[in-house]
Amino acid sequence: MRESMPLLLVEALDPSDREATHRHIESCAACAEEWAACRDTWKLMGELPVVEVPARVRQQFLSQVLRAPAEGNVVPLHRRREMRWFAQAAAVVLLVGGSYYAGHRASPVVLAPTDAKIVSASPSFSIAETRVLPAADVSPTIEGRPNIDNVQFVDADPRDGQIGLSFDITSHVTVTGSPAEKSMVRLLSYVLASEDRMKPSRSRAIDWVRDTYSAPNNADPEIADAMAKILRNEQHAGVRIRAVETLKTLPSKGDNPRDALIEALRSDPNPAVRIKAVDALAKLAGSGAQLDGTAVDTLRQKAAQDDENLYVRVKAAEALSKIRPQ
Amino acid sequence: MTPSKGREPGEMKHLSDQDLMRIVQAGDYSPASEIYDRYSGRIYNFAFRFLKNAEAAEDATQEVFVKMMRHANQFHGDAKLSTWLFSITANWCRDHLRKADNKAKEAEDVLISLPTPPELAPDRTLERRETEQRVQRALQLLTPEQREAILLSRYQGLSYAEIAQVAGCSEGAVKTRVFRAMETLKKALTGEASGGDRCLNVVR
Amino acid sequence: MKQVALLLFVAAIATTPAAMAANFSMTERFSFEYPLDADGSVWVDNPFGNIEIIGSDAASVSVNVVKITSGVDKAAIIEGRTLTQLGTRGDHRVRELRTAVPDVPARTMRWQSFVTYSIRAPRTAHIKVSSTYSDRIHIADITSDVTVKNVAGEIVLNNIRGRVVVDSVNGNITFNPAGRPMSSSQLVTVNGRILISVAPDAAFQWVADTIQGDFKATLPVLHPQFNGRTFRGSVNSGGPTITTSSLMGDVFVLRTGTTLSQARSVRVTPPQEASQASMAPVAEPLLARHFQAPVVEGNWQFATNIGNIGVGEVRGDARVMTGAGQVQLSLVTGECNVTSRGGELELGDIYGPLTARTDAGSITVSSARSGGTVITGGGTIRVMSAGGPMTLRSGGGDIVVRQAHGPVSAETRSGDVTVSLASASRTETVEAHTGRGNVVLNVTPRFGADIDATIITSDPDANSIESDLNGLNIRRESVGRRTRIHATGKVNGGGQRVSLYAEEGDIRINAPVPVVVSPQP
Repeated sequence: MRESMPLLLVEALDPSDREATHRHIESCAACAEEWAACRDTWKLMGELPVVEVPARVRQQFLSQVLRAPAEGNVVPLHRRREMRWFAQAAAVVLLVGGSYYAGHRASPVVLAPTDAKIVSASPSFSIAETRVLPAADVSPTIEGRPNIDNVQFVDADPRDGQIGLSFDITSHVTVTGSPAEKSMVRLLSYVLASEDRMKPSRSRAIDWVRDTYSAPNNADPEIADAMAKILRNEQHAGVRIRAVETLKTLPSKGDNPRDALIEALRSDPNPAVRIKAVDALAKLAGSGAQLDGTAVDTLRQKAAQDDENLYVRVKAAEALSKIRPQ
Repeated sequence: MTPSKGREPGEMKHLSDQDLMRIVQAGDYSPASEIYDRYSGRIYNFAFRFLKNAEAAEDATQEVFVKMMRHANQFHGDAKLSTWLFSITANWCRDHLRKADNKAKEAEDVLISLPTPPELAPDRTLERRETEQRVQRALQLLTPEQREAILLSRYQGLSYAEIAQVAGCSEGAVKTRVFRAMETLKKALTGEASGGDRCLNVVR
Repeated sequence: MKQVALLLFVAAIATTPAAMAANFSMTERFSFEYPLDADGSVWVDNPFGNIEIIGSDAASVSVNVVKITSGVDKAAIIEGRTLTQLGTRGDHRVRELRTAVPDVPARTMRWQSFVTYSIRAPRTAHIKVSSTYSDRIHIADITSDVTVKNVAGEIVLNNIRGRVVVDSVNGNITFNPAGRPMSSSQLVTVNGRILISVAPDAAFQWVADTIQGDFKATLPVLHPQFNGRTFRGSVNSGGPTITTSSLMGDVFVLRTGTTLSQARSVRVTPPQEASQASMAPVAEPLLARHFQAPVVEGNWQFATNIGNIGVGEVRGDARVMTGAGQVQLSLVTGECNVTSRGGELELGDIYGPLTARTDAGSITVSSARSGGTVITGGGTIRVMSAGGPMTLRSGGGDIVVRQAHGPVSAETRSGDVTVSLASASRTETVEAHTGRGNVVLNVTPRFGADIDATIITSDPDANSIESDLNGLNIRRESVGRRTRIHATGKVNGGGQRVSLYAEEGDIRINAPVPVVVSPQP
């Protein structure tokens, strides 16, 4: 078991072993401690910064290999050189704006969203190579609960609408692709649903998801499901409010989001969440979506509930008035 | 060596490693700068962290790439170029260590000569430097084989199979080396840090 | 649909041939008769279709069923017809009639079935009817009790002497209790209206509650008492109690021979009724849900029980109250006071001091030029620009202040607090407090203050205090099972007091150097 842990760190186990190992770690206190220590060590090791290769090495190499002087007349900027590490992909432009930087280790953050595009290389100082993977190359099946940290979002490139999601998973990876690609959606859902993988700004992350996935052709039920899960489980009220707002704007079909809305309406302690939930249900009813018996009962009960906020009661009655037979 | 400027550097960016090597194998050395730019950072960092010596790492980098060009025909198109380069580097570093006087080189002050990445605000440098030093010191506690394995795994993202190729051993041996390395590092890094009531830590 | 084992008894006594009509529908008729005791029970469960039950003197239940199946083609109709099954079970004490249809998802758009029951039952039988959608449910001449439940469709109960219980969502209810009510009854609908028709000498107690509807009568209603949204009164004296609950619709009590339009509201709104709980000046509750106006010249005051309010500009002071509803104000040149008992507030450019309060819902303010107080019982608060001191409170939800030009005091029970001070602020008093979440303070690198930042966390490795400004000392200590991380110190020589507090979250003090775009060489 202990020998497997480093393998787990580098995702070298196959998915079923990974899953089994994770399950064991969850159930065995000693191993859980061990695993935590392992992960902490791994993280600490990440503090080793990337070192720049002195320019003279390049000049000497090229002059040795090519008789003519190397074209190293322009010393590439530190940043630019690191961009070349990104395999054969196009440069990844990270829009580092106050709204979108969800990373754990904050570098100086630009505040009010600016239009400046900052061409930045590695966002943290991990020596690990940063790989850029197209979403098409990433399997949409996420098995074995990979450990994801330091999540950041890359806004849609105006030229081709491609978005990016970058995170640490042994090394720093950026996955780029169209918002509609299944792998992208799957990864995002995984990241959103995982409790501690995205501190501190889950709220901002949800805003980003809403902006990206509200367009009708980007709609995907998995994103709605991820929001539903957050709505059900999240303890941070601000995040739940965001999640329910997002559910309202996402073009969602499917039972899971609707059930989450009903549960939230019935029992969320925060009145703003209940308001948004009943708004969303009223909108669903108005658009002709089917509300089943549970929904009708919950709405009916809320409308009649004396100590419920008046807005919720009225909106619930309004939602009921819109339901129609098939 | 016959230099040949048959191709513009701009074109090279879109060619795969295999393609570039094929060009070199055909006698055209113009891909040299492109390949260098792609991999020099990784090679240098690996060598530097392994040897804990900037000068030696520079030598290593230069010689590795020269060797790559000179012995290009030894590269088989179906392998990964990075693995091959790391193999050459690992060999070079092992040879370097074997020379007796190099083992003793301790160069504590190397860290100070590192250029500070410009994004780092000055206030954070202190704590980062401390951690950096701790990690580097902890790495030195490992045997060369363990260090090689953990550097390639943690920082260069190589799989165990690839590390086995680079190190010239079995995958099982790699697993053991990594495991033992992690044990040592764990004790060194978290063992020091545990204790909970650190107080009056002057931060920035 | 519950899965109940039923004897499926499809007796095709008369069936029209399967010849298709031009509009692709098929009608089948069935008749059954069953013996029933005088005090027996009749239960009908028919989700889609009409139901009529008339009391008679016979000692039996006779049932005529018309089943209409329509579909896009012959195959669909056959499927619909097969899947819509009529079943019955029971004995001489209880007769249960049920239409079984598959669960909603299985009912595709390809076919629809509508089943109408016409039933004669002993007038002394107990009647129970359950439906979902119907045009009409009609029950008449029954001396025993009647229970009806449906979602939508009119319910008409005529000449019923026994106790009546009706539970509807959108249906209108018409109840005629045989002239004089003999038993207590309960009529409940959410969106429908209720009409009770009685003889002039009928005597009963009337209890009614509603959110938005009105109570109207053509009979004198004595001793009317209002208690919030509940009304009590009596028609003549004594008698059983009739409870009507129509949340959104009106309730009418009519003397036989009178019409709806003759009915007058029983609400007598004495001045002392205008308490905080009921927003006065409105005699009749607004049925129009939206009050809109582009521009209001001069001071403006408006209150409504329920309603959304949307106003473009108020060129003066504004005072707005709604019992439930959203409020939108784009511009107010004077002082602005907005209160909602529930609903979101969206405020634009407010020049004078602002007080915005809602019991529930998010509040957004574009610009509070003189500062103010913004409070929600639960919801997100966003203030884009604050020109004066701001106090922000939320019972749960994020608080965001951008461009604050004055002191800020922000507190939320659960949520992130993000305060950005305008670049001109050399120093400012800031209080930011969250019971669960992160606190982020954005300032310029020259910002000076006496900082006191505390985190209480159960995971000291995950949460931290980080500052771009130098001068803080950090201490950690255990507090029960949690850890307190406490940072204090003067930054940039000190200044006003900045106190930040977060539980289970991080505190960040960001003082970024403005970043310049680096052009590609």
